[in-house]
Amino acid sequence: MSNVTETILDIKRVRKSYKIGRKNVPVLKGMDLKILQGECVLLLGPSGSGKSTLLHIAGGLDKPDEGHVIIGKENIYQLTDRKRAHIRNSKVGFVFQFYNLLPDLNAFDNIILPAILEKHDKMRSKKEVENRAFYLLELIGLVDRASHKPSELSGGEQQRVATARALINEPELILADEPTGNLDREAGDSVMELLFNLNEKNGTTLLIVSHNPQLSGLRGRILSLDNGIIEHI
Amino acid sequence: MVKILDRKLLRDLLRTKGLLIAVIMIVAVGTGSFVGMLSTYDNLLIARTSYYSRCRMADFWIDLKKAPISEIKNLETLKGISELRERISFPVIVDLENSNKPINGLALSMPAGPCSVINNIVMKSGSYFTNDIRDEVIVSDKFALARNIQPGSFINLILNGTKKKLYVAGTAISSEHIYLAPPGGIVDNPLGYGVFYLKREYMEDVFGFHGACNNIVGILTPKARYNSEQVLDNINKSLKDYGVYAATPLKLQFSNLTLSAEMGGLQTMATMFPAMFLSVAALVLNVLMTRITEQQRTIVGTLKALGINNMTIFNHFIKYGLFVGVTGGISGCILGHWIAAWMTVMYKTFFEFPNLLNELYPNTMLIAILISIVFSVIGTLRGVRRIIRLNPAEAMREPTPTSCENILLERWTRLWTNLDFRWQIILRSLFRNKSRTLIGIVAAAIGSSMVVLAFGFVNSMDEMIEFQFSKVMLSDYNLSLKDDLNYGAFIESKKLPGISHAEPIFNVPCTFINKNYHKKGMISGLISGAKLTIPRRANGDSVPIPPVGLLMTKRMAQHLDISEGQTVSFVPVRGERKTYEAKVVSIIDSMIGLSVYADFHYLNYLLGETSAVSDIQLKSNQTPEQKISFFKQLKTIPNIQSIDEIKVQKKIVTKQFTGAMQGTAFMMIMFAAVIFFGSILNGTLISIAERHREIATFRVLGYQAMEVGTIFLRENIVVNMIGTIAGLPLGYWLLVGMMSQFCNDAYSMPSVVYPSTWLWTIILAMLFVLGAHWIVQKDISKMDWSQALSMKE
Repeated sequence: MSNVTETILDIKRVRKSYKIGRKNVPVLKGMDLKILQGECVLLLGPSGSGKSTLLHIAGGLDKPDEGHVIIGKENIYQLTDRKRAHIRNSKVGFVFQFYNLLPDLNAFDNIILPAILEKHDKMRSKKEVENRAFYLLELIGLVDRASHKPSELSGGEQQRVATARALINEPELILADEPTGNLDREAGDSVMELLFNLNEKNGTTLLIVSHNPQLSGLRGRILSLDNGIIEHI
Repeated sequence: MVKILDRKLLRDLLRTKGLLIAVIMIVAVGTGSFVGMLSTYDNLLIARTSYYSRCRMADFWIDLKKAPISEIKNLETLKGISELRERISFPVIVDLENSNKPINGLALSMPAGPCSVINNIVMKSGSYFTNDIRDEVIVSDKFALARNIQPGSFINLILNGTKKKLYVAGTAISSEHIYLAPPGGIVDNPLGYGVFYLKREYMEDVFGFHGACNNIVGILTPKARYNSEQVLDNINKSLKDYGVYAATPLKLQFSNLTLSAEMGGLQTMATMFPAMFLSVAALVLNVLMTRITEQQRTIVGTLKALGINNMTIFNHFIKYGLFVGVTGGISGCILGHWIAAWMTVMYKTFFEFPNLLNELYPNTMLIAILISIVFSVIGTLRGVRRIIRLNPAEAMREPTPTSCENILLERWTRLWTNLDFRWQIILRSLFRNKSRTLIGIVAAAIGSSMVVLAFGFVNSMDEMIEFQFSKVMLSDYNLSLKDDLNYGAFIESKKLPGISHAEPIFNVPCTFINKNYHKKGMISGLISGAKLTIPRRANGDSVPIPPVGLLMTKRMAQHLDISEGQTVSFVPVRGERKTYEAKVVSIIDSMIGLSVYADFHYLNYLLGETSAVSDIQLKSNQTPEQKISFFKQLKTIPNIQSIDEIKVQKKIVTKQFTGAMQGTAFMMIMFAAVIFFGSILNGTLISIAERHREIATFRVLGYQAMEVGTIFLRENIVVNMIGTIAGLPLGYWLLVGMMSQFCNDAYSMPSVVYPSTWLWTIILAMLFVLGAHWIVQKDISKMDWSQALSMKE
């Protein structure tokens, strides 16, 4: 865990295209990307450049047409759906542009949602999960909003809850898809600060995609995705 | 995890409670009809089994002219016979002091002391015969109750032409008369027909039957029960010298036949109704689940992204179907138990059992709940499978908007452009949601078929009654004579008070034979140009009596595998019992019995008789005084065996059949309403939820809630009217299937749907649509359309 040179995400020759009407539109054209343990990688690119597709493929949410994605030592698309789901649950945390919180659950329940699967590697007790959730609520500054439902939280607060949810299982990799895309400047800055702090203080590996080059406090490795190809900035 | 998702499920259930209640109601009615019909069937089966066993119910009945008891003893050696009992059985006339009208009855001999005989009786009040009094009678309980005859009182019976005053020892019931109808009748009439059990010695004396009998009942060996026809053939052969009128196996015995037909009908309905309802429920649930999963697409995507596997998500959504199945199943069991209680009470008025109770059948209920769960889960599967198949990234994206390509009708430019834009919206919506439209049509078709079936039952009964009592049997009274009399007796009958017209009938019981087929029946000799019995075809056309040859009912012709123009042999149960031959001139239709007609004089000539008369039909034009006098005179005529007043018969048949059917029909129409309401509410409320923004836009543009509602109303009218019309032939087809259950040698129910039924079905369907729309309109009116406009797409 402490070896910073260890590769946490290895994307090899990934191709992906979508069918729009009768046309096959290529989105990713043989993409390669390697992210090391503890790294913070920002992937910038205009809308429609394939950033979200790349992030989804990296997180095991969408199958590539070609290529491999290796998380830790697992080639995730050679695994069964069930095992891939397990990797998503235990090794990856997701933060989405529209938060994707479950509207019927309060902030606390949303946060613990990924931690209470029956077959979890870490096999934590309920108490441990709850303690971790309160720790994260404290970290995101929303302890007093634990029992609030998403509809009772602001956009920024919802994204903070989503970030806490991504962290509940102490994943090795956080994938954030336009985490500030739906927030005002102030709320966006606070979320970015939370994410960067996680990387700097806890050594959590981050892959953030955004269309906005003006993201506050940019740091780490910054890449650009255009026309299905990654370029270093 | 389970707990959190279960909480989500609970909230989902609460949020969709209105739609859920509609589906659960359909499931409940489906399982309710299953539990109700099967429980009623089981109630009847248990009551019948125990009653048959208690009374030692016979496996066969032989009616013959007269045979010595010694001959009967020899029959016991025949293979397949386990035990026999000989009886004396005669029609009687009851002369009650409080009734002007003579009443028909049946006298049956019983042993002087109580013992376990075949077709025993169960005492209901009073006692068995005493040794103190010779002239004692035990009266059938229903008749005694209807006529207020108490044990200890006296009753006058005209036995063998002589009036006898008998002491009523008690009242009783018997398993062979669970359903008691007079000979030739099809409904029970406790006021007008009773059974009178008399000591054998007494009947021997009165009827001159010392050491003889005219009725045999018997029990077969267990093995022979599978082939009773063979045993009955052997008995027939052994008794051929004694004039066998009829040899009836248990399955064809009228009481058992009627009860079995009813039980068969229950079994059919117990399969048909639940299949219809649960199929509709599965379809409606499919629409609902497709909507719910589509609505929760992003949530499912997120859950998947968070590592929750497909099986957990599948299980989560399938619980929705399980909830519907279990809730609907349990509600159905409660409803079914209530239906069974209602039907059992209804059957008690027709069928007389010592102990017919509505029991609880846990196995039936368990099966009902399982069936309900299976259908509900099947209904849930499609929607769940669709969402499960999506990969997480795809699920998190909003669905691709439905194709905005032109619908088929739009290619017909002239028509399309002439349509009001609201109709264009309606048609686009119907065509773009094809499966939902189709499901709505199927549900409406099933609902309307149920309405047709309900009305069809009543129509068919009406038709049968109308055919029999207004087209075939046109007399006011039928007098059955004890022995065949000569024409003079018939001439005398014309002189009875208030009689305007009379016609003689010569009935000849016989065995018909064609190739290897044979069937016992009767030829009725009618005078040429008879006005009081008119043989007809099903379409109502009268068929004249041919001077030579026979008219035969279709069912009898089918039994004998004979068609028009062919010659049939018959052996009369009278005289020398020679074999005669006659041509089947025409095939006719009859709703009651297996009638065969011939010309009165031809039949007399054929059998070497000269104008023998066995029955007389009378047409009257009586004043009330003449009627009283008429009945008084009939009581004094010794040769009269029974008197039937046709108007009373018609009234009883109408009351019993149509009355019972009206109750069932009402219940079925209510069930159909549940289908219509459930389907319309689900489809429309889902459609409204999907088209929130469209509705909001209409409101912004200044449309009133009612005007927006009209769009949905029109959609529902189109879908439900197409379905209703499609359901009309389906309903007729179901009616034909159901009525075939009630066709046997005693009666055959036609399958008739009057034109007014088609119209009423459409009107009712329209009313259901309007009723359901009233709820839909309320939903549209209270919709927060301004919020809908600010919602994220």
